[in-house]
Amino acid sequence: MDENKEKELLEDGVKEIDTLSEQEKDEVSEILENLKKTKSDSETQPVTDWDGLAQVGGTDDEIVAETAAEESAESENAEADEEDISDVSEDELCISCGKRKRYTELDEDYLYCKVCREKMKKTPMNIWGILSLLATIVAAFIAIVWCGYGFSVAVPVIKGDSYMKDGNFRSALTCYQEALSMADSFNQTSTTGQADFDAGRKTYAKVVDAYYNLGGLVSAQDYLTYLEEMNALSSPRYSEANEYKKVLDSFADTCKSIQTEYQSLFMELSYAQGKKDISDIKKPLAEIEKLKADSKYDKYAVAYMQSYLCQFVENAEDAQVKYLLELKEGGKSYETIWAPQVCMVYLEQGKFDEVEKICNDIIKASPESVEFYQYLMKIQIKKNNPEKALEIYDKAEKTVDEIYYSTEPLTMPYTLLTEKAVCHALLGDKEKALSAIEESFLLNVDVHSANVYALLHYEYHVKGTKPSEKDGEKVYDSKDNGYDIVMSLFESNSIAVNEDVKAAMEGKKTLKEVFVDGEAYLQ
Amino acid sequence: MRYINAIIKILTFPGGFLRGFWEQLLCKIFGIPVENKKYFQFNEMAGHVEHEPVKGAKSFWLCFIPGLMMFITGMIFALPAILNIWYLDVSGAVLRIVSLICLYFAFSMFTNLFPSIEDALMMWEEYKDLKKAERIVFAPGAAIMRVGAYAENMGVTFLTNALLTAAMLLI
Repeated sequence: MDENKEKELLEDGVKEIDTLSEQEKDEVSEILENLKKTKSDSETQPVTDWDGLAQVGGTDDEIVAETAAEESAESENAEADEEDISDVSEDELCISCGKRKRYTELDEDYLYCKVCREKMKKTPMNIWGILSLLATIVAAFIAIVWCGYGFSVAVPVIKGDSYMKDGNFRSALTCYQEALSMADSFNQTSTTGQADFDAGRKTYAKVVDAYYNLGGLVSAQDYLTYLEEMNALSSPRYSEANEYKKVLDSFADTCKSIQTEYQSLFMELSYAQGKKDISDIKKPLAEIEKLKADSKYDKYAVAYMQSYLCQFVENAEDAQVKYLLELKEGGKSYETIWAPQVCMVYLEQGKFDEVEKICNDIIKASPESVEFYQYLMKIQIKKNNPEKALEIYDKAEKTVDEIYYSTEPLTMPYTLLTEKAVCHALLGDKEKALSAIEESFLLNVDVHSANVYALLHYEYHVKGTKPSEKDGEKVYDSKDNGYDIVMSLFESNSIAVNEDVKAAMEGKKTLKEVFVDGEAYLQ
Repeated sequence: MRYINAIIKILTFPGGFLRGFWEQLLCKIFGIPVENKKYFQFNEMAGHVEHEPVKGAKSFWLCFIPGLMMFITGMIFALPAILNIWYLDVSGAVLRIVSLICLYFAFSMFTNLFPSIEDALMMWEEYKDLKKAERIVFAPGAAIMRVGAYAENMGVTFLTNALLTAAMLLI
């Protein structure tokens, strides 16, 4: 309590109110005593007269400053303090100081006098409030940084979800994988050296789902293993992924079990190198057939193993197709297993209509399955219609341009590029044929494309030239060394060059005889 | 009911403090005398500051602006939490812990969105006396704040936020 107040109350500031009763006078005396006591307290302790109201977190300095501010405010309002309150009832007094009349100029309901109101307006901010604001700013900054991480991973996932909704599963898969690689790149920059960041269990589950919809559940095995390692599969959130895992596990277990049971047969057939006939494996096929009725075995896996067995023997194409088509009943999960194999068998058998039907059905259901255009191209090549095959290629290219999402510059699948090279070679367009096979070779290589590569480089670079010597070795392809590269690839992988290709190199066959009349897949 | 409110404010103290801060700051800006700047009292005023009655549109802004600030702050914390926990379901320990902390902060902010019942009633009384155009503009905010103040005081917002958080963690 300051001196002004004291003077006001104890000396002349407050006039005696004659109308007061004895009891009321006693009460006033009591208040004055209390004020005196407050005064003595204030000398030892720097607190204000309304400490009781609000001093949570107030430091001594803050309170001293507040007291000084109060004193200044009171001296400024000294004139107001002088007002006569002799005829003022207790209800009209300020409820804070009880010494001055309430400030009714603005509103009759105001409970405080002008001085107290001014003081209350200048109440310093609660220190906890300021601290909480600072803490929130720091926390919000951290949250924004983490939000940045979340966003950078979530953006491709959101994009992938949108592709999934439109049925563009391959693009969706690319997006999800982009999110996974984004998380990996964060981990590489992490200072803790641990895998702190990940694209999230839901992203992995979405990758699995995308693979399922693409008909390649088998390819999702790794992602399901990750999910299992992250203890996600036991959660009801991932019940779908758990189902996929069960399907795959059951498939793998059945395959493994049959392989173990018939290990000697597989070895025998493998060594026979196609010298055996379907009649030689009729008995084991019948035995395996019985497993389909056993609930312990996955019937689709059993059918797959039967088709696998058929690959080793002659004249088993029909049986192979029959077993593969059983897999078709298993839904999308096995599409990438049965469809390409059935297409190849049908192509070799000349059943072009069936191939067209399978490919068109798949492309209709999933327009991004551009790899199936290669079989449509092969049909036209087999029919000696390279122009039409190139039209199909253009259609595939358009599809890729329009709906494909890629993180890298868009490229056509190498299988289609190989067929494109074949078409140009058949049309006698050397430059385009070499350019297409070169592009295909840079992306990927399989036995068929390697054979096409070797043959085209032989035809356009090696044929009619003499080998030169370099570092004691013969160099056949002096132009770009392509023929030598692919031949060494065959050699290092112990793979023989295709018989038709070899014949063409020896001048016994023409390109047309190799590509049109020969095998659809050069192996 | 006052104890429920006080307990909720203790459980969501970051939001309680911040709400009190915004209210006090607004009082300072508008020149409203603050009667009690204690943010934590064991009654229905927990997480709020006591101030003199406010007249006119100021009473609306005094209720609305702190709520808006709490909402914005809550969203800043909620976004990484929603992305990392619900949308991606991250499993990395550090990332998950930080995201859970963000989730708690968001929960705390969203549980302290609304004004005290005292302020809401005062705002409602003043709202009735506003000009017609102002009444139309402020109608949705005023109605939401009045209902929200009661809901928050009874712990309804706490429960709904808790349910949303649980759903986010489990579904």
